[in-house]
Amino acid sequence: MTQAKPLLHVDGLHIGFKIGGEWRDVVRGVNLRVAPGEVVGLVGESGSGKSLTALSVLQLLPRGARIRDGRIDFEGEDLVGLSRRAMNERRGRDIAMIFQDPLTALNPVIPIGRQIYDSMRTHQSIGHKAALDRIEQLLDMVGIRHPRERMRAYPHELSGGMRQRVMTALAVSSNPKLLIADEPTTALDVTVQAQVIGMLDRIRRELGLAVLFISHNLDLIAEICDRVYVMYAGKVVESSRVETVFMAPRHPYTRQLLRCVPRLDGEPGPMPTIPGLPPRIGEGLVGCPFAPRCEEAQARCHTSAPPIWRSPGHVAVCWEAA
Amino acid sequence: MAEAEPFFELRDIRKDYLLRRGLLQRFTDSARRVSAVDGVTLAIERGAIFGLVGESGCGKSTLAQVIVRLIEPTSGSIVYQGRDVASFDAAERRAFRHAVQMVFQDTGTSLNPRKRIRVALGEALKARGVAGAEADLEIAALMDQVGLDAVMLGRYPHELSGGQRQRVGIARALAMRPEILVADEPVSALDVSLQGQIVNLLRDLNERLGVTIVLISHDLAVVARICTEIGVMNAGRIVERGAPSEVLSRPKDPYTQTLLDSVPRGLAGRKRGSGAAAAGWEPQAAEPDAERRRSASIAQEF
Repeated sequence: MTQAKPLLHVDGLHIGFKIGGEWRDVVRGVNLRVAPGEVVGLVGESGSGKSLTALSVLQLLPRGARIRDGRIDFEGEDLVGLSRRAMNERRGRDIAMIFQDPLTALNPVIPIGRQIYDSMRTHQSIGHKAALDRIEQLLDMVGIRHPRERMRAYPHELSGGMRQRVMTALAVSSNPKLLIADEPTTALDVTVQAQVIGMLDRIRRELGLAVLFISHNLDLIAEICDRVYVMYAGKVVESSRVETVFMAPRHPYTRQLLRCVPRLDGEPGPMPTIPGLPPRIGEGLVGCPFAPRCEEAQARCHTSAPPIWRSPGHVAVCWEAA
Repeated sequence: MAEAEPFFELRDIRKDYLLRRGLLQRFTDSARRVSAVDGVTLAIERGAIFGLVGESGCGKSTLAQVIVRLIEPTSGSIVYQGRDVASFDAAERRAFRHAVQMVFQDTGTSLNPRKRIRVALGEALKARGVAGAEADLEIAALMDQVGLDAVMLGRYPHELSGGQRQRVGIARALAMRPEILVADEPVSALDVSLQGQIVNLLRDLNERLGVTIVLISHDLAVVARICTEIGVMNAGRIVERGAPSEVLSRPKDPYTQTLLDSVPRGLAGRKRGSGAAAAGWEPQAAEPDAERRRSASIAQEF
């Protein structure tokens, strides 16, 4: 699908934690591509490895987690094993990230304008006056009114939606090529979520940004993404264009996940769910990891690893998809 | 509508907070007040699942705390089974505390991280005067009711998933044999795949035990599925109420329409290629409200 040379190409990524002297992989061979200017969704439940995958691109993995295998190519250069210094440069300039909770990501004792200013002066050769003008422009772009005055505000003086806008302004201040958004609206009200999604869509158009958008809500992914990767238990189980995943999902997990999204047109009564829980870290996985929760599982699903089903631009890892 | 003796009633409930101002205003009594709850009158029938919907800062959580009497309203009265709660004596107040239980959004902070689940539930039972072998039996029954395996009893909260912890939160509330369960955003911290499990559990408890449920959420799509009646709250007031089908298909208040429009609609709501450029702007019209809400949250309790 992505004929263009990918901006980001994650290949055979394994991430593990050392538990009881033994490495346990929680991301188990993830492949994904993001083309320049493309908006790619990464969807899955808590513990599916979607956030670790995203964090590994910036090499911001939590203590104890390590990239065990695989490549993370950004503009053709493998980021795995890059020196701290070289990585710092990439982080500030080419790849930026926004997080679920802007209150913990922003410094509480420094005015927001100053935080963006410091980041810009560190990563770019830009003068004092030019930086201030640029900050005003950025805050205006993310939809903050009266940016000159708001620059002096502290994070606690802003609402959750406003903080997320500020964090986005901070993230894009260095003109990155890729923005990683890890559940940026999960902590927000639906009305504010709608505004922030609209804002993200607008600025990524204006700046020609590629976005890797992480969420557990498929409906949200559908609103702004071109393509989507569905993750389960550390693996991508299905990937395709968003329309295809919605209209003709091949993996039962995708189908069951789609049904769970609360919709306004749903019939009154019990909500659809996926019974059971995802496997725990280090649980011995034989066969398909989703088999215990799968409605369509057959005997072979429990015993042998599922094959990869492919059609142009569409991949599913499932016995039944074939 | 049971006109004769409503089960649970709120009559013109207000909760004001005093804004912290300068020294001068404190002495001259010219400080501004903000109403988190601004005159709410509401009757809830026995056995109902009442959904309270609105954004952060609309006053829905304040109202929930007033219902369970964690905070005293500035004015207005709560009428339970035909009697004003303010007229209750000490024993009746205690009984009321047991009868109205709360389930919190964040089970990571509402459960003691250093106590095993068995202890957490045991303490709740002790408050009701149940201990020893009788308590063990009841704990087992509670775990069964919320669909948790008995092995979880020996675990600490951090060893459980978010959905499992929320089930423990519900079991702890049920330990008091409540008449009313107030659930404040019980699923908004959970994955979509698990939200349904918790929502269905509440619905199931309502059916099996007849417990009345007040479900608070900002997500209309969740509330509409299981509630018998919903109330939409904005800026401290209930702006619209009725049966879910009514409210969703024919919203009378513009604010309800805004909430409806905000629910993600998947492919139907796709922004790709559409020129919805204005969608991302900070809403000007809502700004006074937003200011007001923010000030309410930083206000000092009056």
